[in-house]
This record gives sequence, structure tokens and C-alpha cells, in this order.
Amino acid sequence: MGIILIVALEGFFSTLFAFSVIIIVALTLIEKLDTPKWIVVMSLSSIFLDIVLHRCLGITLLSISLSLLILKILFLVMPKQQLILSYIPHLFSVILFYIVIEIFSPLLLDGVLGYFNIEIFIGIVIKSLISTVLIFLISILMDRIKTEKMISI
Amino acid sequence: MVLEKNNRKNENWLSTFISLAISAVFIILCSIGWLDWIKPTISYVLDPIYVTSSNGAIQVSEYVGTLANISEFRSEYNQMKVQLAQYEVDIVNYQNLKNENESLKIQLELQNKEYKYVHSSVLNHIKVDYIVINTGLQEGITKGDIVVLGNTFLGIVTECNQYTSIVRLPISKSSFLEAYVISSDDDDRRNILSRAVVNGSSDGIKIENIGMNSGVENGDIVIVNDSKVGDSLVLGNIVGLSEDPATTTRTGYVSPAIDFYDLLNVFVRLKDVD
Repeated sequence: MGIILIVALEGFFSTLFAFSVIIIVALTLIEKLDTPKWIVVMSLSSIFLDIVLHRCLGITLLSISLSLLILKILFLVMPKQQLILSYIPHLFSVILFYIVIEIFSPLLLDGVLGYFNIEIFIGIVIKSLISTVLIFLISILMDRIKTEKMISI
Repeated sequence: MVLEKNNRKNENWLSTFISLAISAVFIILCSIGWLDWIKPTISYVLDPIYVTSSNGAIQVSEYVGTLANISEFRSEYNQMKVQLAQYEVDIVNYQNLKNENESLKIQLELQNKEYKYVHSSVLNHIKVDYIVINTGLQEGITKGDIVVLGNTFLGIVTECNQYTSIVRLPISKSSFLEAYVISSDDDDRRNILSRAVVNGSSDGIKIENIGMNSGVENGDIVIVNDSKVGDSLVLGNIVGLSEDPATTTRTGYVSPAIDFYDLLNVFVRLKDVD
């Protein structure tokens, strides 16, 4: 059900703002779910999205994995804090996700690298900024819910 | 606590590498074509969901776009309103020109060449029995001039100003004219059936003093032949002729040949050509 919701939201936001929901979900859930669950949810969601968006199967998961790798590497040099500035690694991670999708998706489908210029890059940066802010807000919201639950227990 | 954190960190790294491995496997299998069978099945289920949400996004986008451009739409609407008003003015002008053209055609075909005519437009109606026209002393119009359209009598100029004149219509209670009646039958049209007097009333244009045995019938043509008019001009047709055998004369009403209230263009026949 959650996977279907991800597909629906992806369809809605990608049409409205050319904006990917799956990277937000992936980066948010990585801290909240267990590794096996996260892998299953992300694998299925990304494969389903690849089918619906007529991409090469696995490209979305590859982008997510590379983003995650970059995030982990950046977190080795940057401390994790509850500040908006500590989400800069997330920003770079999301930028990488969009760049990989933009360039490698056509490469795997047609054998030609995707077209990339400064305008596309600026668009990606803007989308990534919005995604990062959303990740930050969702993180704060989930922490607050978690705290309230603990207090009520 | 520290141990749990370390475990979590390691799990995160693990999930990254596992997902990388899975994606690599999927890409390889997809390139080989071993996963082609899975696409139609998943598409059959998920495509409607994706397309529905995508269509919803398009609708939202259109709605937001309309709201964003509302000032543009408003200015466009105002421009169109101005344009529409301009077209309406053009249509009215065109109608005026058309009416004038038709009136001129009638006048050119039927006018008496001995007289000089001044083309005028009707500006207004005063009650039901007077009209105001847009020509006056400047055009040489004087009191007593006859207003016609073709060979139809419309009235007499009763007041003249510099640029406008007032015309008394035959329906006016102050209008008294001598007339004669001819048959509406084409064969019998040369004979005058009866002489009569035409005067205006609140009921319409009254015709009186028609001889009882003159043979006048409803529909016969009333011709104004008065010294004030100076020429024979058509007024209209007889209607509502009285049938009282006890009287020596008959009365009736004249239905005007031209509806006075639809008049837009008329011609004033000048008395003094010089």
C-alpha cells in the first residue's frame, strides 16, 4: 500500500514540479527502518517506478544507492546535528541522485549520455534544495511524534 | 548505547552496498532482457495509478496557472470589451449608412425633380406627433417646408432653429390636411373616389367627409392634396371605415405608408429653390 502511495505521489509531483518523491522517502526512511525492510521497500518502489516511467530497471535504485553512499561519506567529515546546516550532505546527495538519473537513464536505455547543461543543473539544485527542506521538516515532525509517543507511554 | 549506534552505522553502510549490488543486478538483467516479462504485469497494475495522479497534477497545474494569469485575463477581457464596444459602434454606423442608402435610393427614384431636397436624420421624437431633425436654417429649411420620403408625405416643418427643425406629423391633433382617396385596385387607380379631410387624433390619423356613395373601401389609398403641401403625396391606406347608413359621410382611419417611429432618414423639400 505504501509502495503504491509512493508511485502515486511520484506521478503527481513529477508532473507538477518535475520533482522526485522517492529520494525523500529513501533518505528519510534510512534512519527509521531496519536495513532489510529499507532494502525491500526501496527495491520494490524503485523498480515499480522504473517500469512506470519506462526507465532501465535498477537505475533509480542505483541513483539512490550512490546518493546514500555520498551521504555516508559526507557524514564522516560533517557532524550530525539537528540544524538545517547539518543537512548540507543531504543536499549534495539529492543533487547527485538527480544528476545520475538525468545522465545515466538515457545511457542505459539508448546508449547515449543524457543532455546536461547549466539550466538543467540550476533546476536540479532548486529541486534538491526543496527536497532537503522537506527531509528536514519530515525529520523534525517524526521526532516530535516519537517524543510525544514516549511521553504518553 | 554506543554499541547500538555503531551497529546502526554499520547497517546503514550495509544497506548502501546491498542496494548498490541489487541495482547492479537489475541493470544487468534488464540489459540482457531477462526482466522483460515483469514489465507488462506491473505496468497493468501501476500505470492507471500513475496516470491518474499525473492527470490530477496537470489539473492542479492548469488551475494554478489560471489563477496566476488572472490579471492578464482581466486586461484581455477589458481589451475585448473595448473592442466589442467599437464593433457595436461600427455596426450602428453601418446600419445608419444602410438606411441612408436605402432612403436615398427611394428618393432618387421617386423625387420630383422640380424641388430641392435636403437629407436629414431624425434625432428625436417629441411625444408621438413631432420629430426633431438635424437640419435647420443653415441648410435653408424654413417653416412650412414639407418632409417626405420618396413620394410619401411625412409632415410639415413647424419650427426652425439654426441646426435643427421640428416636424409635425399627420398624427398631430394640430394637423388638418385636405386629401383625396383613390382605389387600391390597379385598374381603377386613376379615378378619385372621394375628397376628404385628414386630421390627427389620439386614436390615429382620422379621415372624414368621405362621400357615402363614393365606393371607398378599406385599403384604398389616401393622397394628401393640400395647398400647404402643394403636391400630391401618399399618406397611407384607409382602415376602419365607418358603416353607419344614417349618416351622409363616412369616417375612418389612415394607416401610414411608413411607420413614423422607425424613421431614421427623411428629406425636407425646400419651398424656395433659389
